[in-house]
Amino acid sequence: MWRNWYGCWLGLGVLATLLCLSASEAWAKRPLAFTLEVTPSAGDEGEQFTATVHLELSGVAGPERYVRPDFWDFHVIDSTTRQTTDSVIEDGRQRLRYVEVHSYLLRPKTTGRLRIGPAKVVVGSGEFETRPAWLRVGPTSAALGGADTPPVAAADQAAADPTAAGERAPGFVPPATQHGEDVFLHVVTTTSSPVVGEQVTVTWLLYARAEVLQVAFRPLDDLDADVHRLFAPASHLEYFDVQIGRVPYRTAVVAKVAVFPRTAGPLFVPPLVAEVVTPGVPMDRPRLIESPSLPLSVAPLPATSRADFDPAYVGEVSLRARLDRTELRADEALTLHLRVTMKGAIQRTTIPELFIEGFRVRAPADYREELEVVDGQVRGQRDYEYWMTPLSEKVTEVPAIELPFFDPGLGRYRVAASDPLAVSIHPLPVAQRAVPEPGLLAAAPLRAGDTIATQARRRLDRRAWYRWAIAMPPLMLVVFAVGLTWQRRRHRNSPALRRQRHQRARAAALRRARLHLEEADGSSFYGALSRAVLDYVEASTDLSLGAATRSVMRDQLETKFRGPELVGQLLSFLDHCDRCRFAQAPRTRAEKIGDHEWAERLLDALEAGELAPLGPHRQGGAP
Amino acid sequence: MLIASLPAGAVAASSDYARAREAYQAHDPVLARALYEGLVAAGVDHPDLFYNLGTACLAAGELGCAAHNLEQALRRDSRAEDIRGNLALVHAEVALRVPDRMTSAERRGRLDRVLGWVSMDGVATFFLIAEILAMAALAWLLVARARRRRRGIAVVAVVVLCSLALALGLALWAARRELDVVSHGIVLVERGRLHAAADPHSEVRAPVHAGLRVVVLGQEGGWLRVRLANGGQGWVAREAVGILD
Repeated sequence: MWRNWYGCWLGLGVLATLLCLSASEAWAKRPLAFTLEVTPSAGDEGEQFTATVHLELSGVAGPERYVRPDFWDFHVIDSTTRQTTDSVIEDGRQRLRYVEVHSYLLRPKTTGRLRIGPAKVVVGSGEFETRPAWLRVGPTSAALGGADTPPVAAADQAAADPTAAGERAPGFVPPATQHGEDVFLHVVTTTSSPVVGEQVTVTWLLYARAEVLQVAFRPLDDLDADVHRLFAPASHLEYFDVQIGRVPYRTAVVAKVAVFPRTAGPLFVPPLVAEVVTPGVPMDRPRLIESPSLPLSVAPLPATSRADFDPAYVGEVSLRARLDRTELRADEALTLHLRVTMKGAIQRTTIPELFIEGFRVRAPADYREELEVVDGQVRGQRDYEYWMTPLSEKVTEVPAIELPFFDPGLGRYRVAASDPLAVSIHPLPVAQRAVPEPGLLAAAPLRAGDTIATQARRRLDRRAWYRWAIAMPPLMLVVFAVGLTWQRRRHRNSPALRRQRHQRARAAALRRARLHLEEADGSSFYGALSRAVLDYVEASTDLSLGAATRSVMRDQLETKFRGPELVGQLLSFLDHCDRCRFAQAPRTRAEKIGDHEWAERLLDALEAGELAPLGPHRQGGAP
Repeated sequence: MLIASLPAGAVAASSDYARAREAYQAHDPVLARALYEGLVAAGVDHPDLFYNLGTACLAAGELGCAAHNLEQALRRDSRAEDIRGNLALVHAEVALRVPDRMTSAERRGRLDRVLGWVSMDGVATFFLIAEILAMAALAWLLVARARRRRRGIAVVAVVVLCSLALALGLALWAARRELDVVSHGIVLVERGRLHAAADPHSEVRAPVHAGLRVVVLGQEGGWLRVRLANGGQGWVAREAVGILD
């Protein structure tokens, strides 16, 4: 029993020793100082607070990990970190210390008693944290409506645009908090929801904490809108001092354009890109910065009942008209000078078409245009000259000319109108009135006749019978070709055609035998002669006699030919040819010719059909 | 031009036709135009009617109406000199009234120009004759081949006649397609606008003027999508274009 107790105590002792050792090790690594302080400890919502985390460690090594405090109720405007190592004398001995200081510039999000969470650090195997910090934040004095709250003066409003003393940035809105950027581009616009054709002024500002040694801007990308440049710095930028939070900057307007959207829908103004050189940046490798892309939501123009409205007339329009003469004859012309002045993109407009009662109007081919920019507003004027002729002597004035336009400032349509112009038309002398309009005089007269057919004669290719007429010839050709082919096949096996084929073959065979006769080749001659007769007999009787004996031949031929004597003559001739082929003493040329002629007569007799026995064929000679 | 048997409606049409002529001769082209347009609406389809209507519009100063109806007449009677003369007059008057017009869109296509001078009836007739002769030559060739006779002349005849028939057939097909399949229109308003979309507030791409010939590509609501002779495309109000049929 005491062994169990002994073992138990021993284990506990070992465990305690280990714990002590680890604790001592952690104790050895414990920060010398680790605090979180916030100043001031109370303020109002518009103030800024500074939170400082101070860490001291012995030695030269920093912590393994540092976790910053939780700033849930605050915006972190800026943060800095400082790390140093120094030596101190303690108890007569020199010791090294590592110091790390983190500073945070804060702005409260809300009011009340706000908490800042502890900062944490891991040193060795231990984790350490500071105490949290509490602040009391009250509302701002203006929100309280205190009597001593000064009214916002106009000068203060103007000061919102830091460049107001120089090139202004209409629609200026301060940039949001930056994350430690020392140089950046900011973009502002007069409106983010214009209508089609309304001028939108877009201004880019350069903000810099450091000195800008060199800056170059890249051209803007194209966008689906008409763009008119309002400002571009000539030689140098005009800087103004400004603060973002408590961080001082210098700012300058670097570009300003007037954008006139062409179509409704989303429109993105592309970012402006700049190449900046500041101290520390090599001149040959400038730093690229770009402004954010600016989204615009372009609304369509509202519906209007005026059919003569030109959608390019968006802005403010005024008209002035005058005549070059106020008295003229009925056959003369006058010129109407029309000046259109517009605040907006007048260069997008087309020549107004005028319909003036009592006049024939000829529109101008060109016009004079002047453009200018006044107080950031694009303006222009155009001068048109219309050539007019009166249609009647009773006309007494040129009525007011109206031009509808859309005023985006008022958000409605308006009509610009000129003053009516008095004019006096003097009638023509009587003799001249009989002269008709030159145009009508040249026109061909109406076609004669007082009645008209309900329908004109249809075009030939659109008549029904034409389609049949087109289709018939190919159809007939096909029928003809089919019939011809059928007839040829039928005729090929007719007795007449067969007889013709046999005759041709017979004539060709006899010619071949004749050739052998001329060549004095007796063996071949008689072979060809017997072959000619045998082929003819086979073709005309459809018998295969090549390998048959004479008795088989006789039996077969007697079934085909009438007259057994003729068959006997035929067989005798075949035997004669066989003998002559292999005869020791060749036959004479005259005898061969006689055999050739006899073969012809034999074949004629076979072909004649009405067979009569020929004269007996003598052995060894022609009959 | 009297018809042997006219329905009752046709009698009234002839009466209006005569009245329109009288009105024109009395220097009242507006009344003449109205009467002629009534006849067109009643379904009378004759080149004389369209010619007279176009001439009345010309006299009344309505250039778009004149161009449209004269083009209609020209489609039905392509060789008529009086139609061509009055149409040229319309274009000249447009040139005077609209000096800043888009002249690049006025040129007519090559096929269109050819169709203006070629008679469709003539092409159809020649094609039919050529086809018949080509089929006859083919039949001759078949017979000569069957009878083992000399075929040289037959082959030459077949080649020549088939080529001629093929060429005329292609020409007829192209002309029919251009006249009957592709939809053409004439701008009626003296000065109009070609928009980028079927929306009167959309960007104006180009001006169009009376007498301008367009190819109609489609329709959406009260808008027509058209193509000009210079290739430009856009949307024009339906009432600003007269379709040629």
